[in-house]
Amino acid sequence: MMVGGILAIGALALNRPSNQDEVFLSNVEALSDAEGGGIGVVNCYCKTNWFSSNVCSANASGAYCGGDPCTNHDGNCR
Amino acid sequence: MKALVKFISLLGVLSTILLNSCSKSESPIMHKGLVKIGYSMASIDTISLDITGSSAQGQLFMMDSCVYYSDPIYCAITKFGIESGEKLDSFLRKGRGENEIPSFLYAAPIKSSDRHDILLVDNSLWGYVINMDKKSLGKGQLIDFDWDGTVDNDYSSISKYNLMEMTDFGIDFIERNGHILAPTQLVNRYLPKISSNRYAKGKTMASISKSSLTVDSVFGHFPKVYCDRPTPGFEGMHFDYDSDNDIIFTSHFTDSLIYAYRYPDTPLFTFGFEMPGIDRGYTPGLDDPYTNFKNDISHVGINTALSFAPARGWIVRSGLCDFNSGDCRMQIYDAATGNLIFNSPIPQYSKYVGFLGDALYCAALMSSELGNKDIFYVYKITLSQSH
Repeated sequence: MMVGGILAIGALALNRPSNQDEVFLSNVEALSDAEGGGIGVVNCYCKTNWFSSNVCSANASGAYCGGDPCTNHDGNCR
Repeated sequence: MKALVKFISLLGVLSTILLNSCSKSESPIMHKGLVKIGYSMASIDTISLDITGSSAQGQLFMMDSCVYYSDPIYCAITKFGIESGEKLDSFLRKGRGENEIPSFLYAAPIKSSDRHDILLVDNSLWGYVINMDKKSLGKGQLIDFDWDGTVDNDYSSISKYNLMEMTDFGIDFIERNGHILAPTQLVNRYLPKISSNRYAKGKTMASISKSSLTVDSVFGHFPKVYCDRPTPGFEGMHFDYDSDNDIIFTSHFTDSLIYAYRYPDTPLFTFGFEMPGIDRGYTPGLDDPYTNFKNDISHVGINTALSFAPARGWIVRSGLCDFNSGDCRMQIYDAATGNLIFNSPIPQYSKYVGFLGDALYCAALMSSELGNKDIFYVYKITLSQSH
């Protein structure tokens, strides 16, 4: 299933402009890299901060905001 | 008459049970310390750290004779000279290459007598022990609390805990015999419900293997203030360690008291006086703490730092008295007697970060704009003895 996922992303990459290659390469590395980010190990929740944007994190107790890795797109856990 | 006696006896038993059910975490211990102000503020010198080009959403911490700015958005740690504010070095970038990291929640020094290590925690609770002498990132590992999804009331289980969540005012890590001591947070998702039992039975600290980042044990006690006014959203603390005497000093966010424990958690004594003007208007209650929390942090105060200065035998504590006004204070206690020897306002929205030479240093909690630059302020405070 992981190999299929990597192949699918590889196929998409062929149809993308060359300046997107680094983005897709890093995505492939993220899927296949078992060391960084702990994929599938923890779930992510919203962390309210006093002085900065809220973040999506496993070190949080707020609303669920997605599976691991905990990514934060808009500064409010979405 | 017999019925009355029985009723009074039953009332006494019930009262004892009720009292003990919440205060079981804290046996009666000696309280000491008097107000004996012996120092006053002599000078405040402002040092400007230019963080232009960063996200301006980071935090400052002090380690050795430098101050560090950790940027969670750009995943970078920048080193500044504490006297000059000069940028000295920068380490890490966002990414997956060498000396790059894909996410960054916070970084804090691992206090130790002979090493200059930082523990960086990312959004997925992976930890990286960074040796700042060698500027090596090290292999990331999950800070493993052995979460298995079990929901029960086993407060002694490591799997009921996480690292402390409220890190807006920093987080303390201390190295002790190959382990990192850290403050913890109960994971409400793994408890059947939020009940007052959390304060009678819950733990407040963890011992984490520095080599594997596996949590080996949890320990500590919630102070009575949480029993009297339950505030799940404001659970957390700052702490420091007297290595010569194997004593941990703790200051919880909402508590006026400072607790001294023989490691790991044998109560020794308490001391401490409330900071004048601190807003303790947290919404008490065990129901829906997150909603209460969001409303409360618009105005309440909170204890923001606690540190032991072994050269002086001092305990230094700072607090944000009121989030609206930004008024802050710093207190100094004699660690042996518990006497309050200094109690003074410090610059708004700042917290104590360290002691160097004869000066105490406070750092701003958030950045400021100065012209077209983003600035973080550090304040060097010197004291004079009162007569």
